[in-house]
Amino acid sequence: MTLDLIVNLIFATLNILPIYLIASLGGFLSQRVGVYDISMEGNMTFAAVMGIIGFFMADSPWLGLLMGFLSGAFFGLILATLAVKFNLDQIVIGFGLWFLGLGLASFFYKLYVPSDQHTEGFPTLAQLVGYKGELTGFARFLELDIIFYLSIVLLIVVSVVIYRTRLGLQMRATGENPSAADAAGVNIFRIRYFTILVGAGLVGVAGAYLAVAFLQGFTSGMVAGRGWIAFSIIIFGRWKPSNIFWGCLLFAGINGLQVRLQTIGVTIPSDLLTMAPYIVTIIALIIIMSRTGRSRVPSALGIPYYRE
Amino acid sequence: MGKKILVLIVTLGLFATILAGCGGGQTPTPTTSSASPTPTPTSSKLTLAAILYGHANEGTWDPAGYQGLLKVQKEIPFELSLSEAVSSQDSEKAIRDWAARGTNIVFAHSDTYTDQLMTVAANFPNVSFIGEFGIDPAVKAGEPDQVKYLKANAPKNLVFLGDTPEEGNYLAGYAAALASKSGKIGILQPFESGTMNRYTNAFVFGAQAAKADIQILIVYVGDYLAPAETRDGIKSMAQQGADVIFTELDDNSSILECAAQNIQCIAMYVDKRDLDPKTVLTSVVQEWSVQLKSAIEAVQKGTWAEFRDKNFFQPQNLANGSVHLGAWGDAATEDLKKAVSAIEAKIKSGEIQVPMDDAKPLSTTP
Repeated sequence: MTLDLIVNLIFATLNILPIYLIASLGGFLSQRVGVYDISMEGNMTFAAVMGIIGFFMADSPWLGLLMGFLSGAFFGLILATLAVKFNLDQIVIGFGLWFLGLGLASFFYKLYVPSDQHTEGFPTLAQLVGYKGELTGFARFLELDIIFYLSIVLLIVVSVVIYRTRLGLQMRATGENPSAADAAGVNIFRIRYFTILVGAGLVGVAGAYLAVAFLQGFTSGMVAGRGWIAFSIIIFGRWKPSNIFWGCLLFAGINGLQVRLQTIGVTIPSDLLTMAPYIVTIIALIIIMSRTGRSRVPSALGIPYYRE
Repeated sequence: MGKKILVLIVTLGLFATILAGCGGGQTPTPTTSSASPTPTPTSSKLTLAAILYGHANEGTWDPAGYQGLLKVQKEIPFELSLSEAVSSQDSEKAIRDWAARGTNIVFAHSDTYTDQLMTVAANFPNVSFIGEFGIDPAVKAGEPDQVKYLKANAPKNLVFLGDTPEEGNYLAGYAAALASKSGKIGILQPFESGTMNRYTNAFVFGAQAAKADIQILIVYVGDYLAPAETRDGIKSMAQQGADVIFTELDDNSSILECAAQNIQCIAMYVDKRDLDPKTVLTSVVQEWSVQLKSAIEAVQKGTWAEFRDKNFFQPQNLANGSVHLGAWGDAATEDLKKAVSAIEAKIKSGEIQVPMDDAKPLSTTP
């Protein structure tokens, strides 16, 4: 029974992991080049609606994800224009975009989303490879959908790009010391625009995935703070993709654990159990941020760059 | 200069979009042709404003209220206006706004608006207000008569509809226990509260009446709307053998996950059978039109005072049809339907009294 519970918990965690991982990596990219993206919650909410609309355009969850990416990139374009070109306060822009996202989501939802119809999720790996056997033991990895595996690929790609490529070096330089990077010939503005667009697009993908695969529809409030959780995981992960991955695992795992503890009759008040993921995240943030040693915050994060 | 103008344009554009799209939207202001300030309309059409916590076509709770209003509107024509996505903090303003515009009736579809209704109703004696409350109408020994107290202290232009579907929940529990092949059923609640506990306990009592040794799992997902946690909760209960899940949540993700797990689901608030007849065993339907019709009729006929005297608090029950089970799904056998009908008849006749218990329900699995 206990082993079954642990195994089920592991796969429940992996099942929900892509939502947090893709959103966190998207927000990480923006912050890595020195720009806060506070709008993640609104971005995800609007992308959720666009994901549903995209699905119903062609009965395709992939089109839903694409619409989510494009809507996220739209938010990224606004953020980049206001923060990078006009050097406006990034926090204020982020909050404005947050509310914009919520408003646009309600507006488009009422116009275009059919009520009481639901989307189809993504195929599992078992469906893709045609596996018909029982899903036990290691075969359970086949019950995860394709987006889980793509999110792991994304993690690897982001890590490789950031730490192993010239582009990644330019991105890091832009986020650490933009004047030096500019003097060395790096086009700060192009790097920031490109990275923010891609990052915000990924945040949109996470929102669309939540709607298309989990709720398989849209309801106001469905993102329920996941954008903020993803934002805090970036800080928890000290701006390092591998740490962000562990942060996402921790949060998703605690979330799954509190559900399972309830089903085995653990007599901890349910309110405490449902609070547990958020409490653990806060405690983890406090521990991480109070550690001595060199801070990994991108040195130019949140600081407007003025070319001399 | 150009930068400043652009920033100003973008800011105004953002602001305008936020205003246009943000929740709390209201439909166009109703017009009242009569200048009469009394709650007794003359020959002009009645106007009714409904205050909703969510959206009329989203989820389960608000559509239940909205559909009830639409049903009544077919029999008693009135002009309907909606205020959607109204939080408790904003509700007093919304209620007051409608009352100040001369709306004949303001209906607030949630018990979270009770205090605000009490306050505003006192300021607008010529408007009729309809609220909701989940209190037990029966007076228990040693406990105060809550209905009597509320009736004496509430403004004379305010009545309450009972949010008391416990009889329907009892039937649902009875059906779930009979339908379960594994002997294990599950309940998905948003969170613990007196109201939610009453709903759940009624379901548990019904299940135990059908099968005394039925095992019951209970999971709280933290909110009425938590699709990822809902699906995980159902998956977790299914992995532990539960094959019928009763869900008191505000979206369809529970039905979708029950379908994925190949188990049965009992929905709540509205009839969800048509969403997936193979998965939805039945639904506990709150038929708000039954209670609303009598209140709206009283306003229309000018018999509000007499109506309030007799029906200040209208509970939901099987006898008056304000709560009932929805259409049966494909998995319901004839034996199951007959057994549930028999119990329903006993509840209606008073032979079975469904207790209202707001103590925390406990999972019955070891």
